[in-house]
Amino acid sequence: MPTRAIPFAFLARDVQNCLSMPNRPCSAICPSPARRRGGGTYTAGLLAIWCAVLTGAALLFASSGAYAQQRPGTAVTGRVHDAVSGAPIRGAEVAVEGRGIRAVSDTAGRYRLAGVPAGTQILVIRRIGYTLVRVSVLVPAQGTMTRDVALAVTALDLPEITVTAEPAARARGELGTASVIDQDAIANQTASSLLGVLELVPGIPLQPPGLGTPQQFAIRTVPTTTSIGLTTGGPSAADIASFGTAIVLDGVPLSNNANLQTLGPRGELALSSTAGGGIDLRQIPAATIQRVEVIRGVPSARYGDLTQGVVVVETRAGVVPPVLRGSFDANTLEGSFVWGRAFGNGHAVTLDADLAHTQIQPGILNDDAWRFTGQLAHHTRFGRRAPDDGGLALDTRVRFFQVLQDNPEQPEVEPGRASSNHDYGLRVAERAVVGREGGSRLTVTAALDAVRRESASQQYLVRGATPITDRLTEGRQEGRYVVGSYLASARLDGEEWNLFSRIEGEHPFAWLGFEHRPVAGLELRRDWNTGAGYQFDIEFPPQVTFNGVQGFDRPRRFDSLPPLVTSALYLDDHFHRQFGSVGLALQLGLRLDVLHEEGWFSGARDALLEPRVNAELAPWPWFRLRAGWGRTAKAPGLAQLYPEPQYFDVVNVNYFANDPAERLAILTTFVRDPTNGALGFSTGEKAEAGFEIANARGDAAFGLVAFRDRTTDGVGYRSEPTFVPRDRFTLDTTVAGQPPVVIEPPAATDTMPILIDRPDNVVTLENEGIEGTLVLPEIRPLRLTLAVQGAWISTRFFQDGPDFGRSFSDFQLDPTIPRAPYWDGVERTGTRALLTYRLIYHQPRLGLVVSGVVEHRVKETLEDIAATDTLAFNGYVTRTGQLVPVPPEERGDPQYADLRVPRSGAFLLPTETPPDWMLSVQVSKTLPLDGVLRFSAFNVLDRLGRLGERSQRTFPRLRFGIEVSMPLAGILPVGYRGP
Amino acid sequence: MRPARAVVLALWLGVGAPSLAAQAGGGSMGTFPSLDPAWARAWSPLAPLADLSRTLPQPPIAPALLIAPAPRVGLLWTAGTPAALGAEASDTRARLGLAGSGEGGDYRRPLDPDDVRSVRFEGAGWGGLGTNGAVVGRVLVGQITMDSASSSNIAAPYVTSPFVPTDTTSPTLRRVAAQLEGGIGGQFGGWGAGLTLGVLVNDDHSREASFPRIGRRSVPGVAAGLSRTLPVADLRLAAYGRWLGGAETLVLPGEPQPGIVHMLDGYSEPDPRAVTRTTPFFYRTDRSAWAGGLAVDGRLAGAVWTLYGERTRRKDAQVTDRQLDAPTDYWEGSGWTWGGALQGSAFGNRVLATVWGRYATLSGNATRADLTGDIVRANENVLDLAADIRYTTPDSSWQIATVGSLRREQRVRQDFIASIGSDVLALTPAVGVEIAHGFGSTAVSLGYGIGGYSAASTLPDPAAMGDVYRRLIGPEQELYARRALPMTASLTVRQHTSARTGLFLATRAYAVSPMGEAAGLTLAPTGSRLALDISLGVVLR
Repeated sequence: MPTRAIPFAFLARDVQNCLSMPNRPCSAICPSPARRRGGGTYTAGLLAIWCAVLTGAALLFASSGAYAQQRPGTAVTGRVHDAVSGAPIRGAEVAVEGRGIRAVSDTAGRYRLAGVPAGTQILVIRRIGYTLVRVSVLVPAQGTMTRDVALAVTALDLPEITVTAEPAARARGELGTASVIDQDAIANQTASSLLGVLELVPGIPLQPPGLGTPQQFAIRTVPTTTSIGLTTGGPSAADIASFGTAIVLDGVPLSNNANLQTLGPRGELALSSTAGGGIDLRQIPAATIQRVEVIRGVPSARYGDLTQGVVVVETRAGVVPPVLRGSFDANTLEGSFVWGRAFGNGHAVTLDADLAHTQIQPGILNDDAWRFTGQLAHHTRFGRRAPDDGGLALDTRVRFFQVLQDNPEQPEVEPGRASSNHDYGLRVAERAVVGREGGSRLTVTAALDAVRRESASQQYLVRGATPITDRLTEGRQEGRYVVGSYLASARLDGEEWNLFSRIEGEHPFAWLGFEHRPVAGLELRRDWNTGAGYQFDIEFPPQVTFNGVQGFDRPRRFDSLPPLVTSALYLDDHFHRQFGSVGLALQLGLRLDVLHEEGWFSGARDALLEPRVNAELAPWPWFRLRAGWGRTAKAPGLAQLYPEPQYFDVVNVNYFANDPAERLAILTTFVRDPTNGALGFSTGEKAEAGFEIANARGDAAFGLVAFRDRTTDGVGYRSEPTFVPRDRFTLDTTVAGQPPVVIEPPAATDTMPILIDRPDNVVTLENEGIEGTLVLPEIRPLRLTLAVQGAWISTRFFQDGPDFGRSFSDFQLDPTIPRAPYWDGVERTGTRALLTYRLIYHQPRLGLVVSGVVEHRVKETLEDIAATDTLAFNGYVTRTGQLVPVPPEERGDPQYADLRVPRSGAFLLPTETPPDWMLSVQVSKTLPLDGVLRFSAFNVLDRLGRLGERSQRTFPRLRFGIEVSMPLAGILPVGYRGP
Repeated sequence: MRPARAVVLALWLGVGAPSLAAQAGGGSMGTFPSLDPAWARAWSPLAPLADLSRTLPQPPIAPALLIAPAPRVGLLWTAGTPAALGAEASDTRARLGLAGSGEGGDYRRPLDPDDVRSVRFEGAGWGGLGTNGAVVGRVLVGQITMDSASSSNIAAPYVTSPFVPTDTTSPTLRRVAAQLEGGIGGQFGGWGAGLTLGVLVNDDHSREASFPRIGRRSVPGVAAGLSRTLPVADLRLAAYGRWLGGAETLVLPGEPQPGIVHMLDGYSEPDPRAVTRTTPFFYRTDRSAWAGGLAVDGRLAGAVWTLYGERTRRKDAQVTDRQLDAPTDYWEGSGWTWGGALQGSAFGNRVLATVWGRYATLSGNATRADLTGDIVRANENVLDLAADIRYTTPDSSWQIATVGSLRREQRVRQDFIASIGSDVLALTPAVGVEIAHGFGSTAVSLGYGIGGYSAASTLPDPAAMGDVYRRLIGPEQELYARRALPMTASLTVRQHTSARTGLFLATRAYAVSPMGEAAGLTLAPTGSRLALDISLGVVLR
């Protein structure tokens, strides 16, 4: 196994020395390469560190608030008025996002914000009965600036509306590159789920709406070819990237770590599942999302269990005017409802529900998908003060979802073939925030996620005369034959559980002229799975690749697996200072992720210390230089930590006579456990640098960022050669009408080479590229705005370890072949350059927004890089599974003539797809009674895509539909009269 | 449906609503009927270009007294150029509504579906924008279910192009369609400029079919124009251009049951093409049409007049294989369109008279990738004349409108593979009347219209033609060779909820049936065709 560099080992040693634990190995925190995984017990040490940091955080929180409200900075004043009538609006809350600075407008609509830091800031204006408004402003270094703000019931009536990711925004509390997508932009997207919203991220291709297939999202990655055809399977680049993209929903991460809904590498039946990949985003409907932050750069230390980045999703909660929404297209019908009302004593209850149905292939198959989600949110505040002013608030979320996908049998098309995947989820999350005057706050979060997954698949399999055994333990026994066609079916019933808890303290203060907002926290996570597991009738096994050595799977219960337990400790400080007109902001973070053996109080299986740094220098308020570097860690999934045993059923006797009574099959079953006790974290290393330019009004911006993300030690399957013995027997076939008699002892015994697919940290994923966004100011006379975003991304994906190719199967079965070659793994690469132009026409007097989106595929390449000539082999494997390397200079020697064979497998020659483009449009228009009608057409010209010499791009087909949203504020009360 | 029943129903319902079939073949391009009169749709960038679609015989265009405003004449409302949008659409008018319709009967062409049901949402309107600008827009979304859909695999098989893919099945077909169009224009001194954009999309798929059919279509359109007011007799001169695209895709998976496809390309017998799971059928046609024109309007003796003329061109390309340099068949056409309108009023504007005229020609030729030279040539021309005279009583409680129309169409086609041709010269005179009366805030109108279709035809002898001709082409030819009686009737109720808002319920019926003897016409359809449309909506001013 390869070793890797240890980050910041000196820090770990310092911590160890400081805590005076000479008898506790510090490698629990930052282990040496050799000891890092599968180490001993470090419970006391870890607990001591946690307690120390927690105590520090509590002391920070409890210390007197020396951080006064009198911040240096600029005053921002203005007037809040109605966009249609021009009347002043009283009681609107105006806040500087992420700064804890807020004010309420007076009877004349006037507001004043003091101490606003220079540079680009986001003002957030709220008032019940009006749509939430976010305004980007460029705050000068000193003095006072004026910014009037218009509110409207419908965003389309506002003089300014943002229907793209905000050009200069940051994720809350973050300094790294991020795309912030707010509700207006979400509403303008043709999206059934979160995935459709994420098209506003640079480099992400547009996708048609629908729920037909599982939806995953990966940051800054080009999907490459998969390993099918080269090895027995394994993750793809997209799997690794989406697995390493964290999805945080309402402050609590979603977890796919315990998803076991896969049939394994040798399964023939198909299931729709995201096991081994990222979260299935179908469970998050776009209609209920308030805001999305996609942190593409280096996230703060608050975020863990990731390698690529973070998607932070905030659903609608609090006092929300009731809205009923329905959408319709040729494939999908969806309805949603959201309503939040206030009650006495600071309570607010929010209900949202969404029901959607998609016909996956209408007209061809009867397959369809249903989704239902519902959430009940309760927010309460004790006393009259908000947490920022020293109050206590509780936020409770109860969320349910179900995604049902059914592909029923169509006897006329293919008798027997059917599959289904039903997911049901329930989440209960509680967040308590207690604040002190001065901005200190302590947040405690606890959440329990339960997801039940029921998957089934069946189809007719056709077999020659194949001996099988149903033995569950090692040993020899008489088998039986399956012949011809039989209906094979498999079922997976699993219940994933995820427990998440976090305690976090935040204490702003000023020191050395810098305004600090340090955050410290402790996270505990536990993922486990229960349920009947992988079940099938062993008489009719669902696998196909049985060759007399590779065995058939066996049923497996999921509740026998140990849990996946992690903990993390982090400290992060976001601080900034103004030096005259020059602004400097830094974010330093340190996170310690620990993968435990079994429980939080057991030993550490792996640990990783992750420093993260982001810096921003603004020589002028309109210009920002930024850079970041950081390390992240992702825990392996439960399926990788505890893989199912591999069965090798060796055929000792295969006597298939015409008379069934005379047949005899004897097989010896060997069981190998592929569990890798040294399996640990995947490591992500992210680096980026860039700049941003914004105009004075804050409605135009240009930004460019270059990045290099590298995931090392990703979890793949290492093919480990070994062997099993095979006894050969002499048979007495003299008695007709009866099976032959086996004559003991075995006449001969030979060795059968086998490969054990052992999960290991052997995969590397490298992404580098450039992302850019450009938003031009509105051309007022024409009411036109142009926004361009683009990305060039190059991906390399490879796996350490030998590749045995397809010829290994022949080598297994033919004892006359003494050895077989092996090669280096294949490097899979992909490049994509994508530009997205959004031309937006906004006419507030008509309540009309028309946006045309051109997706320009500038460059797309795919290539598998591997040596395929006859001298490409690295060595050979013997029949006892030993690897014997052959030096390059000797590979032409006559003694290796049998190894000089063309490498077999499906290799992708370099392909480059011609540049091409596709147009989509959205039109939004207000209706009477403050309703909104939206029409959208994806790939409106129904372009098929240009054909290349060796490549064939096919754009997703034309899709179109309408959506109507109708407020019910006059029917259902919101119970809030305003401040 | 029996002809007598259709006539009785049409008489009972009363008034001259627009023909559903006429509108389906015209302004809505095969999607839905519309409540808007033809002049209110003239600005549409999706109006057909260089194509003279064939429709069932039509009664006159309806006045729609309670729903649509009085007819307008001008560069925008007659010639359709957006250059005059800012000048002619500065008042505010909008309509939103839901509608359902049904159509059925044996008197239909072979590529028409048997029974049709549809539901739709429609919104249309225009209004001023600022002091010098105006906008216009229209959205229409709905679903059509066609029981025993036709053998045609494309959405509009009765266009001038001879290329029509068909198969041997007629499954139930569900079509979801949407049409969205809008425009903006302004006046800048003596200049006017405008732009209209639109797209029509539909998504078709068969239901529970043993030989599934999946199709989709996108028809984008754009028009732009520039006008100049001349200092003479209120003259305005406009130049404009239009482009109408189109892409239509068809996929026949060929499973679970195989089927046979016939690619019609004229009167010759096409080779059958087997479609199976291993040899599925892919069809794609890309259409492109252009027009450039000049228009002028002015006032003369208190009357408003408009004249226009435009040159039109079209090129359609179809392939049945998705590969580089796939063999491509082409249909190319070009023609001229001339038109005009005149409107005057009398008796203190209580009488308003409007006449329209339009003459369009089209010559086209089809070529096939595997053959040299033209396979089909077509020469067609259509003349439409219409008049609308309406009277409003001094107390405005009564309105009466009479309409009259005359359509003359000549379609000459020569097939060089079958070495045979056809020539159809048809006339359709029609008249209609609509009477509306207000009862306080409620108004009711009744309308009725009737026409007579007759033709002089030279057609191929079916006995000498192939089976596909006799099944898919001959019946249409003979339908147009036989006399027919189209009728419409309508009943509209409008309730004013405020001075600027009114709710309406409109019911329209359309019936057509053959007349006289079908001497020598062995393939002509019999029976009748009846369509019924009910709309509920709101009119805003």
